[in-house]
Amino acid sequence: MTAATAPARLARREAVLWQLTLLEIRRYLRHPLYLLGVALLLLSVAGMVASSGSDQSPLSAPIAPAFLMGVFGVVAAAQLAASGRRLGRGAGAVPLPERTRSLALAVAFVVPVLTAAAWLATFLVIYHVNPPADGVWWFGPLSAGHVLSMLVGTTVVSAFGGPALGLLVARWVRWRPAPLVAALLLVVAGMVTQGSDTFPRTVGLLMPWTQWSAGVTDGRAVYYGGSPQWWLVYALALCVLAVLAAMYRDPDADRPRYRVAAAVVVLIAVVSVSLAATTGVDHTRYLPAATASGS
Amino acid sequence: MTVVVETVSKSYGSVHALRDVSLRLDTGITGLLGPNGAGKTTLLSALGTVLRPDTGRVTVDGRDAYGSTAERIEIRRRLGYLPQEVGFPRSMTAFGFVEYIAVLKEWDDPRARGAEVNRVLDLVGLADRGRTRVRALSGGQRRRLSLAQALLGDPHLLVLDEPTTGVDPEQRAVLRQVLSRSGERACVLLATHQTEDIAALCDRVVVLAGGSVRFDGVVRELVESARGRVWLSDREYPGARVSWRTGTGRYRCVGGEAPPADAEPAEPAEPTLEDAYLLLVGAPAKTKAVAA
Amino acid sequence: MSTLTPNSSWHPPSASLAEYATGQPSAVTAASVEAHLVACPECRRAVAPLAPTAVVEAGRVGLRSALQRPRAPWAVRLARRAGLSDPDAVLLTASSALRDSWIVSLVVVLGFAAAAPSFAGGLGDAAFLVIAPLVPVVGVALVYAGTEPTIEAIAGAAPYSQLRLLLLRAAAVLVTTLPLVALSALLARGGGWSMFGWLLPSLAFTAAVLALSTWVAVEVASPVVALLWTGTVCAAAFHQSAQAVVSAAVQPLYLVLAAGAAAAVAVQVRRGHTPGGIA
Repeated sequence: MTAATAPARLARREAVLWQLTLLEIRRYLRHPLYLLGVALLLLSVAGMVASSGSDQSPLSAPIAPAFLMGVFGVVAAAQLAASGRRLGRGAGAVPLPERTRSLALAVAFVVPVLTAAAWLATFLVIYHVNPPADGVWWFGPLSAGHVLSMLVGTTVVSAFGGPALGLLVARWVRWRPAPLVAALLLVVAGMVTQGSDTFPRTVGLLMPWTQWSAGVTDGRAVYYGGSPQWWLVYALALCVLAVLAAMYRDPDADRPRYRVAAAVVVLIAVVSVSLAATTGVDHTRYLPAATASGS
Repeated sequence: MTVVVETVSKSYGSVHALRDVSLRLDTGITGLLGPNGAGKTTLLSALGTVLRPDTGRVTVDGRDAYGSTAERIEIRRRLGYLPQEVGFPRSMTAFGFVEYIAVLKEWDDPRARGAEVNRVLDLVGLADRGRTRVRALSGGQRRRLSLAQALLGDPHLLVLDEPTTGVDPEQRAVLRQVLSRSGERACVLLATHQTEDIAALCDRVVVLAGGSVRFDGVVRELVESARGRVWLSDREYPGARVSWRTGTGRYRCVGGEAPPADAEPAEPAEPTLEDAYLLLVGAPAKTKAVAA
Repeated sequence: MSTLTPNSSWHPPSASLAEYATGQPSAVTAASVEAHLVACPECRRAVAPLAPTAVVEAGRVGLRSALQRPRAPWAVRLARRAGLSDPDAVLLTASSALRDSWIVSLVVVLGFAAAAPSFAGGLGDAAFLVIAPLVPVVGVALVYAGTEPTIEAIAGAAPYSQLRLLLLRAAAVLVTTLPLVALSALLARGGGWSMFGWLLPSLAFTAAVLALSTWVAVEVASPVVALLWTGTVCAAAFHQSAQAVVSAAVQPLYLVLAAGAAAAVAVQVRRGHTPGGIA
């Protein structure tokens, strides 16, 4: 048997990687948590159609795909990563290293991402056809850049970030309930730090998911400070960092290079979150605006 | 102890694991041979009262394994079951593992239970490994440990799926001793790939392929069915169903057409169980032109 | 210290020796015979064949078992003293899952204790209500996700009642987790009725995960229950207040869920489908 030449081997490896990615995409599509998430997303769309036009703040709706694709995805991705490892061990013949399998799975997160994007498109169409009533935060009071970046950052990016966190946990923590615990901690951390009196807005912005508008309280719609555009960059940086850290786990990885890449990403993250906290809207705003002693 | 399997079938979706299998097993050791996917594990699971077949009946000493719960529990009280190894609780100690199963087999008194656990550990040669964690045991030792739990309580029916896989020859001899002694009082069904185990231990053998029984009878009969169809020759013979070079430098040829009279000298060889098995379930050889 | 020498030539009568060997004499006689035996090799040789070999053998075997038996976690040992039977103790020692779920509960308690100040207000309520009922769910997931197919297959072929095994494990999880969660309720929410609003949901969800696990893998069942509950609490927190999900009006719902799930579990296990086991 002749030895394969280097380009041929590379080509074969790429072909196998592509095959693996397709396999992971299929597995993600069939995962029960993903399917349940899709079902509940459809319900949320129905809810939006039913209630659009009333004075619900539309900007609080993005929590739905963030939860149903992102948080559900933490557990779904972790299970796929763990079962992929088991399959690889069983087959024995798959020579692909762990970091490549991690990368393939990360590419397969296109499934929840596109689902969230589809939800977002539907959402925009619904509220374009039936614009919300006055007195809520929407295009108009806010610039298009603001609204779009906050929407994309809290739906589509979360739909990648949640599964990325799950992949990271699965690679580094061998304890079985770890992904579920991570998902719950993520939710609790979000609940406690967003819109809270105890924690300043900066802490809220540091979280992997942040709340920009909190619906109507005391007859006024709340909008929190910060720059959604820079926060979007920060969220993306966190996603990349999670995938890098997951791939770093492979003992054969070119670790110095990963460290350099991670350092660059960390730098981007630090800069962008600082900008997110200091630029943009500089304080919590309300609609209608407060009259006497403004806030 | 008599086990009767009547026209048992089991399918998983479109895969027919068992098709109308009927068997009768008595006291003694019966071997179950067959290629992977032949339905051996399914049959053993059905006999182990853990897999209800789609059709047919499994009767153990007159009790229907899938009839009432009470009958099933009575069968399980006299049953030792060793599944094919899939996973193992790695953090348990050897003693802890067998003791856990012993409790599940209703050994409530701690003293009697401890004595019984030690007895079966001694039987399989793991007496000094009681406190070792399973993850520190070799594959063969784990297999022996799994066999130990099946021997708890001297069961009347032993259903064993590949008990000697991965066990080194010295220990395999010990296990054969244990199994043959069990075979004197119990009905033992032994599924394995190792034809030498069957040849050494079993009175009867059942060959399962594609979900049906291809042979059910005495081992000697199966071996005899290969007589006259095995040869030793100086060179590889393309007309044989399968042939391979043996350690002596000669080629062992099994099945296919007989070597022509004017070919290289080839004498008939004493058939073994493996030859008979290959003839029974092996794929038919492609026809090839015989070199003159 | 002077070496012991037999007191002149007095030896205990053979009847006393026989009694001593079989464990019958009074304490005084036993003490004096024993004191004599320590110093007198002749009588020791005489006693040896008198001891019933069965007892000695049982003693030896018992010692061997005692040395080899894995040490039960302290919680199980505590339960033994409280009346848990020996076979049940062995079954619970088998997996480290109970210790792990205890650790999870402890972490939850400590977490709530540390974060108590920031738990004032609606979102704090919501966070607590998300976590509290789910601790036993995580515990059940630990127990059943940790079982290996081989041992479950062997367990399936054993005469022990699968339903009883399930109830034992579930009870162990609840006993391990609920008191600690109650403690964290005290730390996070202070006293009052709201302290126990989460209790019925936690029982209901534990039963629901067990029931669901007889159909799908427990790794799927537990996140589904956990995340659906989380979403419900979040939605309630968003629209009115998180307390709405545990208000008195809603409690009967959890009772119905718990009862229905328990019945489903019983039916499924009788039919041979156990959580984490082979169908």
